[in-house]
Amino acid sequence: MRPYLLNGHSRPLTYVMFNRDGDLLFTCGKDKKVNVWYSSNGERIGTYDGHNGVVWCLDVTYDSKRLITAGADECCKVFDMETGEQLAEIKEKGPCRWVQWCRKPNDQNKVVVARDRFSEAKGPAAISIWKVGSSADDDRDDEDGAGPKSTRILEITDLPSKTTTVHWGAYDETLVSSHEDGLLVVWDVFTGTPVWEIQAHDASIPSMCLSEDRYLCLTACKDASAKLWDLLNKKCVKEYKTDRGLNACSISPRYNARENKRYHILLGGGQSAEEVTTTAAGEGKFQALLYHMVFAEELGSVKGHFGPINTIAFMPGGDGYASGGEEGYVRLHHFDESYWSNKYYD
Amino acid sequence: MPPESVKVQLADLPEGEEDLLEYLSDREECIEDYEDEGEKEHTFPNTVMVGGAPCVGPEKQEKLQKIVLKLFERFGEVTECEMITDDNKQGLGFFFVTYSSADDAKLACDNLNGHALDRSHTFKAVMLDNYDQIITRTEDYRPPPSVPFFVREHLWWWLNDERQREQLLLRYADETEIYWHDPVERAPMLVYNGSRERAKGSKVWTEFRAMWSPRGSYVTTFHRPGVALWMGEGFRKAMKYEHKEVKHLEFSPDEEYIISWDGTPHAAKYDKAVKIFRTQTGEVLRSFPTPMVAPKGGEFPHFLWSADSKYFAKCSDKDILVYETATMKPLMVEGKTAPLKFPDGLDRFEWSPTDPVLSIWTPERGNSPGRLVLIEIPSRRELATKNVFQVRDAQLHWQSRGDYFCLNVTRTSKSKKTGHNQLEIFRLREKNVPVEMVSLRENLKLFQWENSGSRFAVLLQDETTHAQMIRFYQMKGRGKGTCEIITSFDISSQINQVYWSPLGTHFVLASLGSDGTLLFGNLSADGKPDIVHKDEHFMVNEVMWDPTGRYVITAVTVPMVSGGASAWRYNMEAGFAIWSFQGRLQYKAQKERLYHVAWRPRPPALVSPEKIDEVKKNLKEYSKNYDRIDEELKRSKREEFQGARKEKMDEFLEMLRAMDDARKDHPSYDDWEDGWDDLEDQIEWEEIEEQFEEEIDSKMEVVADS
Repeated sequence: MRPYLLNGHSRPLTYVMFNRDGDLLFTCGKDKKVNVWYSSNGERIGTYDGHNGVVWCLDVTYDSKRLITAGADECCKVFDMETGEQLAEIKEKGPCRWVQWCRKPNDQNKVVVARDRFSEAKGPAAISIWKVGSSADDDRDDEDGAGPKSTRILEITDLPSKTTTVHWGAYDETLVSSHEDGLLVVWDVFTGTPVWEIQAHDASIPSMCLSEDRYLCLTACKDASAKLWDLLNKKCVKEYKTDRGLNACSISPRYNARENKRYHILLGGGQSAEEVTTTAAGEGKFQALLYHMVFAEELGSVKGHFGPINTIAFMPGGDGYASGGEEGYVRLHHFDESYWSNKYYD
Repeated sequence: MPPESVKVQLADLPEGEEDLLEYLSDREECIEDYEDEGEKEHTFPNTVMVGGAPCVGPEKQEKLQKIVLKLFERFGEVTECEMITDDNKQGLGFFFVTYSSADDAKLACDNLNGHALDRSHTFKAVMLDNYDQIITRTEDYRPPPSVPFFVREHLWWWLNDERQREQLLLRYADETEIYWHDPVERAPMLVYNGSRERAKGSKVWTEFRAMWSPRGSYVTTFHRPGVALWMGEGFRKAMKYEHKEVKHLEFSPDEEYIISWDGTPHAAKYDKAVKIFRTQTGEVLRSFPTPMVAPKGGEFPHFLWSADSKYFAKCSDKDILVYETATMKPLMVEGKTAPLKFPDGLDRFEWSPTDPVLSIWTPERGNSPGRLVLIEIPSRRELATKNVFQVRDAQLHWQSRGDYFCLNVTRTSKSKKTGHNQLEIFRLREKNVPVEMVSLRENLKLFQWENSGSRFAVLLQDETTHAQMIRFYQMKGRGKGTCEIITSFDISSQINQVYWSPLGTHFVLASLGSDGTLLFGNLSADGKPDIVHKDEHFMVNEVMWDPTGRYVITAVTVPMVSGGASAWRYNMEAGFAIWSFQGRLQYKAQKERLYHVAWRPRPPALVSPEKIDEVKKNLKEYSKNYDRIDEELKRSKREEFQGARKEKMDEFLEMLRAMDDARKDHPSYDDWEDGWDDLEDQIEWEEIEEQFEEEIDSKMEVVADS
């Protein structure tokens, strides 16, 4: 399983994701850059420029036409995926940590944005839903020419602690957010009130991911464990124990594929830079870990990163993955034939 | 002669009276049975005499009767309870109590004797049957002395394990635990962890050391007031040995005696620093001040036992004093204590592992050479001596069967700048104990006899290149008189220890304290070496074979007394691993503050060496049974595992089904499905079929010639 090493960031990676078709890989990092690559061979196609601060998160629509990025420069930018042209901008009142398009296919015009608190004057941290302006329904440009105006539909400021991720729930009716104090909250989209709240972990949850049907939720925690949640019945169904603090997780889309089912999850993390000097073996546990989703056993690990893994994502076909590390490298892996033929991975 | 019995047969009975037969006994000597019963009346095994109760008048007797009956009935069913009164119906404070069973009566007697009814009345109870014996005692009767001792029951219970598993002792953090090592289960299975002792209020079984006795019969734990001994299947406490602040302990090889030491230095001259106990009774047989020299180096032991436990010896820098265990007194010559004297000084001594033979080394001093002498005890006969000149250092190595003894000396050249090693090998089993010299050009790092074998391994380092190699030597048979090199090969210079299996043949080469390289290998009977597996256990500082040579533990342990930087260094990695003799990892675990891990030793085998050879030859036959048990166990494990997996999977799939149903039942389902369809339609996918044809090769052939 020879990986492609993508060297397009000069600082730690913050987020990686594939488009729905799986042919493109989007990455962003602390170096203010957003890159797009061919996932088949790791060739860089281009960049999306404009942010003047860490780019924390990005999301691309199902039709791969529009890309939205969340920056620490207090704005989210919508790009035309193909041309790299900025289509719109959402101005927030603090650094943007997270952004995600709503999930309704062919009607992805809303985004959820999580922002941190910057100062008393600017306002508190919040989770907001924005209707993204498009030139079709509003061609009045902003005064600075940033694009059509977007409107805030909802703002939730009554948050337990810093938001790490926030996802749209099933049928866009809820929002699911993870927090730095280990809390997992499900919000009603229409009222902005919490529907369910649970102390999922005792430490920060840097990463959370949801299945395509939005009912299965995986949280990865700094306390070295990951948990799988049934959002339909609102309960924890599995716990995965590892020996390192976790930063990243991903669910294999093949868990409910028609054939070649693979009940797998990927976890990544490792000792953060300030702790590395305390390890005797000099090894920071930077491998990507492949676990069985149901039996919660480690199936294997992939080494290569020399800094903690910050973000990890399965390919939409479940036939490979990309991981982004603190050291600035993206590793793009395509699974070997044996991943499909070996009974061990069943 | 028994009286002729009358046999009544069915046919003899008158017609219509056949059922009479049922009333006739078919046993013959029934009359004698009745006589026996008459005789029984002379003993009263169910009756207890209880005295010492209040003497009360008739008016209070009923109340007293009630009270005591309640008490008596605690021990069993009382069939009769008679209060003895004088002619005036005045109570004499005395009862006959009869129980329905003799066991209950015995129990009641033991418990009632000495029972305080109230402040001024204490019961005295005896079995009625013992009455005669007690009143006929003469004046000078003394009760037999009661020496506390324990009965050695189920001492070797663990040897009867159906699957012949090994036990191991773990002492880490605040825990003291005994486990079975189970190669099928992989993870060790807990046998006992001091739960009883901890339930009694103390938080830990012991906060100090815990160790096995040399034959594995007991576990000893160290406590502030002394040492405790535990044994049997339940690890019950067998004995306590009082010795304040005890630091070290050594059993005699037969486990009959214990020597303990409280760590007082020799200079303190504290005369109870060393105590010798009889294991079974806990008596202190002798105590000593700390002797001057610990002959094996280190701080303990000061007394060395002979292999048969008949003697133990201590030394100073000038003499050796041998004690006889039976009398706890030094060996006498013509009625006088007579130490073995070495006026030129004494460096170290060691007993043969099998015979009462002492090997004693006196270092070189002035013009007198370094001298090795083998002395038989108690005859004091010198079996052999050897003088060596220009010696810097010497090591003594006994082969485990006591057949050979090797004196390993480092000699200096005349200029005293360089040194080289020389081995002097003594053949104890041959007449006049011949000595043979093996001279080595390289630096000798390590010498190790093969256990119960006639071969040995040496680690040698080339002086100039510092390359290291391991070399094996073989002692040729009786009378052939030579020690030959079998083979040698280069190994990493990190390797610094050789551990032979207790049965010989197999060995582990280890690099202790550094990179933790482990090499599992063997040396076949015809001298072919084979390294079968290479692995590593980072920072390993202990390697132990189990007594059967099947498993190896490698461990990173930390000293119990906090030892500065190195303890901290090791603690990062503290833990142990269990390997098969071929180096297959069976279990590995990190254990915070692991102080001690040890296989349970086994007592010496009782079967003859011939029988052992026979078993070895027909190993397949013998192992069949064990293989079968293991196989069955593995199968059931597998089935259980697969069953559990299936259950988990079914449960998970059920959950996924419910999610799918929820998705499909949602009011917006159709709307969203349409969205997906639109999405797919809008993307301009085009199915293109392309055919490529490529001519790989062409060949012309004439099929038919016309």
